[in-house]
Amino acid sequence: MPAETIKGLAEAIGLIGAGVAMGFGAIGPGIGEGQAAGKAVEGVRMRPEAAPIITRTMLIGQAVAETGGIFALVIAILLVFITKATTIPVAIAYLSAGISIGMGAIGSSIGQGMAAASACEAVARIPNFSDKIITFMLIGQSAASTPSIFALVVSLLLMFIAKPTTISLAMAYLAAGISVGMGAIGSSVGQGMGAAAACDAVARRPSFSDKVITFMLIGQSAASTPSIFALVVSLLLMFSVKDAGIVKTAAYLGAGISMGFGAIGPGYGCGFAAEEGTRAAGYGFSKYSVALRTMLIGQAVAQSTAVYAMVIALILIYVV
Amino acid sequence: MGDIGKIYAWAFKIGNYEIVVNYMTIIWTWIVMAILIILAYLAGKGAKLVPVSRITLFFDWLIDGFRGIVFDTLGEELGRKYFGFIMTIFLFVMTSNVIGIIPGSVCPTQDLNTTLGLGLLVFFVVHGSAIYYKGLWGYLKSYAEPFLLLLPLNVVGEIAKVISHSFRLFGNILGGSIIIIVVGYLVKEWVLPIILNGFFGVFVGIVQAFVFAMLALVYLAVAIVED
Amino acid sequence: MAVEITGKELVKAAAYIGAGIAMGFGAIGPGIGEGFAAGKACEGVSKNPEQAPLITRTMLIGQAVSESTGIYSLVIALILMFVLVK
Repeated sequence: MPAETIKGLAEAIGLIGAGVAMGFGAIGPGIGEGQAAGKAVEGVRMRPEAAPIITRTMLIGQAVAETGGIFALVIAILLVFITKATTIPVAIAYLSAGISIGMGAIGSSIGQGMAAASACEAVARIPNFSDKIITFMLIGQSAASTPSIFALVVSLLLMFIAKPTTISLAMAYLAAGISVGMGAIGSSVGQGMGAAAACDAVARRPSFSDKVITFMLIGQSAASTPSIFALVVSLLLMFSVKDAGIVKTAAYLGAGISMGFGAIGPGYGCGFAAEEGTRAAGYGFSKYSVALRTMLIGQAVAQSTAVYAMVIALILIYVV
Repeated sequence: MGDIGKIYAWAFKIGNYEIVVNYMTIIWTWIVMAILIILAYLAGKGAKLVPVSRITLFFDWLIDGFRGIVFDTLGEELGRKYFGFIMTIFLFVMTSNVIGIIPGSVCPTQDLNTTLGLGLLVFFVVHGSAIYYKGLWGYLKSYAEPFLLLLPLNVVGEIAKVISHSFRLFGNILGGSIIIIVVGYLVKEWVLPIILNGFFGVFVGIVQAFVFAMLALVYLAVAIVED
Repeated sequence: MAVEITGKELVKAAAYIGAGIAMGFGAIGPGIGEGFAAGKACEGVSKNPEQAPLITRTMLIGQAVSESTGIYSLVIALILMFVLVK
């Protein structure tokens, strides 16, 4: 192909990355903030005199849920205006950056939106506790943003630090984007479910609030573990692979697919366990440590397929 | 923008090996240690029956809060043994995360070496304590629960725990600092980055420090507390 | 961008991508299902703490059965990576 066409093609692929980033990045905030709005409307119907505080809670929660979309917007703007791909491998790296933040923003905004929704419902039930409820919502939401921060970090590294020179390396970077991007979806939704349950629990029994927060944070940490594995695989794919033939390139791609999709289910499942555990903490137990251990054992088994996916990914990167 | 992932390091050769020293991380770790020592000294000086010094009151409140959680999870006598450990981890990690608010600073926890080191520290304490309290055979048996078939999975799971423990802290703090750099690059005023720094740096730093300490406590409790 | 690709190499490459897809998609289901079981166990233990050992044992048995397809995916992925490609 003449050099002119290659440069055009490279720039085109880079711009597709921007489209992917914002296109998929807009899914999450839409769903999550809509959930919050719906629950807020329901709350106002139940308790019209609390409408101002409910609306304030909704707006704060929605603002935090928006951050995933803002990350995607920032990456998209950078891809359109600041960075210009001139070779195909670099263009593929930019496409991967778009995939990374585009997918990564979906889950985090949905999860944070669910937490905001639950907070609105709780505030409607007991407007006097709104300060505590909003605090718990913010803490839970900030923990739920972790996977999307990982996706953002990988996006930025792919755009500014990685300079692939061959198609093979570029495929490894594409796999890195898929790994951390898809890997963030399940975990953040799961963490958001835990945060939602915490807002609900603290409104029911404010005296147990320190148990609730402990359960929420520990449950959320277990739910975020698959996305951490995805981050590790992404970093390895970016920084410790060498140029190789088509076989090894396919192995890198397989590693990214394995870890990326493999983190969806366990993240969501552990989030369900975190949600139930946190809700139970609100009802109060007599044997707090037994319940904590049950939640941890259950989550540890639920994470096992994420561990398998990471093992397969590592074998694909290093052994075969 | 090019210095997004920049690590200030010296590399020098000794014989055939190349040694890399991240000097900024080490310097700021010393600064964090100095801050903690000075604060501890000042808090101790004001320790009376009814303290009036603000530093003493702050540490009183902090220690009281943690005391409830640690003693609930570990029980009376184990709690007394490990309370200092958990509290120190929390204070060190929190100070390391929050110190990033100073312009031109480097969070010690932004460096994978620090977080991985802390993760390995927790790993050795947890497994060492498990061997100490359950005996070597009891400890090895615990890997075969609940089914013997799960033995390799349990072992891999333990290693995965260390990885997730360290990388969670690393990813969050590094991510926060990268976000500040990017926003500072896009928005050339000083106001917005400082407000953002408040959220990402301080708030996320405190939450992640709490999560790190809590997870260390929980790993310990699962390993050594008998039902 | 001209590359020499032999048939054997193509087979190997496809096998590795297949291994990735197998484990990647195969991990979704057991993760969701086992998490659901863990959640219900937490609920059960909170309502009935004396039954905790029985509840935990039932949860683990149920989760072990749900794990089976995840193990099948792991086996297929390992076969694709190590056995077929000579």
